[in-house]
Amino acid sequence: MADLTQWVCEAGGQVSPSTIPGKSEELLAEYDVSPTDMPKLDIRVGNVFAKVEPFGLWVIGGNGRVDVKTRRGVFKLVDIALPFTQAHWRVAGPGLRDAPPLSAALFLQVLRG
Amino acid sequence: MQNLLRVKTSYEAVDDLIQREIGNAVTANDTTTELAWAQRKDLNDYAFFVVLFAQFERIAKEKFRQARDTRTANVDWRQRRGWDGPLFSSDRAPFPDQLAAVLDRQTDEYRRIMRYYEDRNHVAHGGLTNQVASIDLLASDLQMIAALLRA
Repeated sequence: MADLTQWVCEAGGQVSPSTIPGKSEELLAEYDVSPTDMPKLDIRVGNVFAKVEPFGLWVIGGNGRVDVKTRRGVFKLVDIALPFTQAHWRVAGPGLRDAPPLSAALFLQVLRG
Repeated sequence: MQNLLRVKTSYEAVDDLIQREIGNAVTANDTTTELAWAQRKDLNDYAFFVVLFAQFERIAKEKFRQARDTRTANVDWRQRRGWDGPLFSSDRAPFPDQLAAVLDRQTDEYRRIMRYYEDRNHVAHGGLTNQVASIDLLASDLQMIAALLRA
């Protein structure tokens, strides 16, 4: 989230952080892990609006997923690194079916559509 | 491999339509509609995950059959050993064993397929606990690993 915020601010955009209250996952609830507030971002770059929301840690085919909801649909940021190693984020969605590595330029491209 | 690609192409066409609805809802700041389409997308991803994995499974089993038939037909026992036993003589050998015959078990690729296999079994029997991270990523990983299989 810190990287995404920095990239948007450097591009002259605005970021409004807030929280998703009481976020949980079925697997966490099964093991009595209490729900917790999760950070989310509302982003505005020019006249374009987007939302960044952490989706979950237990996903099929990744270590975690963050959703970026834009006017073109939802882009998924997925960490594909092996567990307990340095994160390796890729971004997939409409027009990005080859899921390239996440970078500042690509993230701004996703936001601007 | 051709069917794996056909399924992926079909997924992209359907997902593009769903994405358009999500995008329209985001633009209109209509959270209710956005969530409804996001849920439909997640269910659609589950369905395509099962179909994609089934295609990978078919490729792996075909590679396994090729490997077994070639080796069991060999007159040299050194080539036949292990392959002409009861475990491999029918096509009913468990998938992990068939896969281990065509992909090195001591690789990350084998371990990833086994994780997908567990998830696929979970979803195919009604489990909807963990959502699919990304069909685009999964499909490209399955294609890459399918190309590594050796008969």
